[in-house]
Amino acid sequence: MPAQTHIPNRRFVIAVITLVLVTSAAANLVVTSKLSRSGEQLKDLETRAEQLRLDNQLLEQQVLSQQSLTTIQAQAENLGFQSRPTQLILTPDLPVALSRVE
Amino acid sequence: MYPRRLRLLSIIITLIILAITARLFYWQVMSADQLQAIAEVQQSSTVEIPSQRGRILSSDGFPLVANQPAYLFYAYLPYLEDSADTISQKIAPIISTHRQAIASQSAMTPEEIDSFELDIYHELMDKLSNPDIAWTPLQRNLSQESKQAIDQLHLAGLDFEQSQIRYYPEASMAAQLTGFVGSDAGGNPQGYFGLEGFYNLELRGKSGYIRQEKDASGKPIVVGRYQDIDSRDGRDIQTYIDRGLQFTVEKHLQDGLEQYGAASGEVIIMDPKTGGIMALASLPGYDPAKFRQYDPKLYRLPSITDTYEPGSTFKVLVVAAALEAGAIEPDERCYEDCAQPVQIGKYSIHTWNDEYNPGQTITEILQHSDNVGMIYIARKLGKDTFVDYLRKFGIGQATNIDLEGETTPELRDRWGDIDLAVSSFGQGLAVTSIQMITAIASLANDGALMEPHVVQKVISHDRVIDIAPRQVRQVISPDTAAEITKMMVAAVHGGEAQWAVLKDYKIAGKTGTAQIPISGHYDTEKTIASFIGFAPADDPKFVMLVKLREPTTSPWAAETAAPLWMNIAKEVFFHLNIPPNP
Repeated sequence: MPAQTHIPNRRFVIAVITLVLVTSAAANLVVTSKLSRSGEQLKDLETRAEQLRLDNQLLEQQVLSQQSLTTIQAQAENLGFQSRPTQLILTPDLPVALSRVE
Repeated sequence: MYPRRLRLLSIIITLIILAITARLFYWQVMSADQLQAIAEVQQSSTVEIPSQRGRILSSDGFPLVANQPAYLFYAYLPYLEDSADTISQKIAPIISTHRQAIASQSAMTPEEIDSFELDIYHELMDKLSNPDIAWTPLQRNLSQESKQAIDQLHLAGLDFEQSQIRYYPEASMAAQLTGFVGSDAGGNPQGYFGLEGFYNLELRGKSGYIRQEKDASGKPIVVGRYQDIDSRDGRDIQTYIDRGLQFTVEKHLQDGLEQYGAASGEVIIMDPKTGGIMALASLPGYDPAKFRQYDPKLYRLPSITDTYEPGSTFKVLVVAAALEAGAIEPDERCYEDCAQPVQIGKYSIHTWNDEYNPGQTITEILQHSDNVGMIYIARKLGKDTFVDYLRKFGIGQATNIDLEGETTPELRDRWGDIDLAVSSFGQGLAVTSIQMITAIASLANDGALMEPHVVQKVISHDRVIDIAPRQVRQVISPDTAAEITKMMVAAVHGGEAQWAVLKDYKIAGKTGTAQIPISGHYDTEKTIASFIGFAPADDPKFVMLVKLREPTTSPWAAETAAPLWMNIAKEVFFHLNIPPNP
């Protein structure tokens, strides 16, 4: 008696192939959609990075402006500071009061 | 019948295949490059990554010149939704404010502002109503504030392109020293004059690019092709300029010009040990942020571009040369030769005050700034040795300072008796201020001539390149340098400028009042008054030149340049923590 070989059902094969195709198509759709959103996110991140660079530069500019000698001089004058007319130079000699203490 | 139809069909199919093949050959081979380029444009975007120009820093690392964002403001006419009139009315006041901030050197009246704004309105109307163009620039180098103001109007069809321009935290301080940035023939940033011009290659950066595939909406495709060429920022340069000193010097020079009624003035302070320029001011100056509004003559740095006859300040170099050559001794006395005016051919040479001091020593000749005494010294030195020492001091040669535009006045080829005589007291030959201070600095540096330098370091993102001080040559021995220093101290503390001297400090220096040559003769009224010196004389920390052109209160340096030198020196001593002599 010859051995019986199992021949898969033709409908079953078609169903598997269809399932694979549909699943692949769906997966492709999902991945494409995700990549599309990533592109948008990348663009947003690039814009944000550029804006932060710009903000940093503007802040640095403000700091430099505040630290400039012209600004400091103007603020000192507003606060009532004046240029000193004379200079006091301390010498290495002991002060008189201190030198008399034995 | 059947084979005939079949044959016809075969021929048609063959023709179609041939046509397709031919077309494909045209696309794939003949037009491949062109189509590839078109596809590249459609499928990829290229974004320029702008580079930053390097900054110019003072000795404490503070930027004298930095960068700031600016915008090219433009309109794309097909996308405009409002009328040209509406847009012009809305943005004219903003652009007017921006231009006033750049242009105005004095406040405008309300009427002038209205008129100015109306002109801008008409200018915008002309541009926005032009039917022959699609794109038009409306304002270059727009500030961040103005951009924000225009953004808030939400007008379609208007946009900005970011760029970088120079920012000067200390405004016009050291403007002629730093130079400015304009454009070259191709519209690219290019440094002109001073440091910007000399170090343009170091300062300018190189833009980078990002090229990537994009989708139909223009957004980048994450898994697409990506090419990245990094931008390279320009290198920073750190100078010897002491910001506080520069600020003080400019303020004093401005006061000095007003006090002495001078047409212009210069101050240079140099470290004699390194040749580093600690401060360099010249007035009148200009604002580098608005350089186009100033006379281009003001762009030049007179200390390196303008020549002058140095007058009596030159005498110290001649005496130093004569001492070094052994032609004279410090205590040597000049008798008959110093007793009356010197006659050379048709010329009679007198002292500045027509007083004569027979029997005076060499030190006293310098102290009295005696012209006939100087002729005595120059004659003993001899023409050839005299010229040889001038060249050793760098006279007639470029100092090679790292600034764009240095002028090098040449020494004459043939020297007659009269040339030797007048040159001995600093007339009849031309020098630049930087040549003069460099030569005098060698006396303060044990006789070693240093190359003057403004920049001490070039800084890139990964390394720092130190520019080491460079000794050009040993001109005179340390002993001769010490001897001439003593004479210069005597000239200051016992000379005609002694009334202005700071009593607590030992200062070596010399005044110089030079006549100005015009059309083959000397102007009888106008002079160049200068004072050059160094201190403390025993261990010099700085050498300074003060020069005033055409002072009107007095023609004499002892009454103008010398007191201004002392006023500035007082601040320098304090700033550099130099105590008075015990």
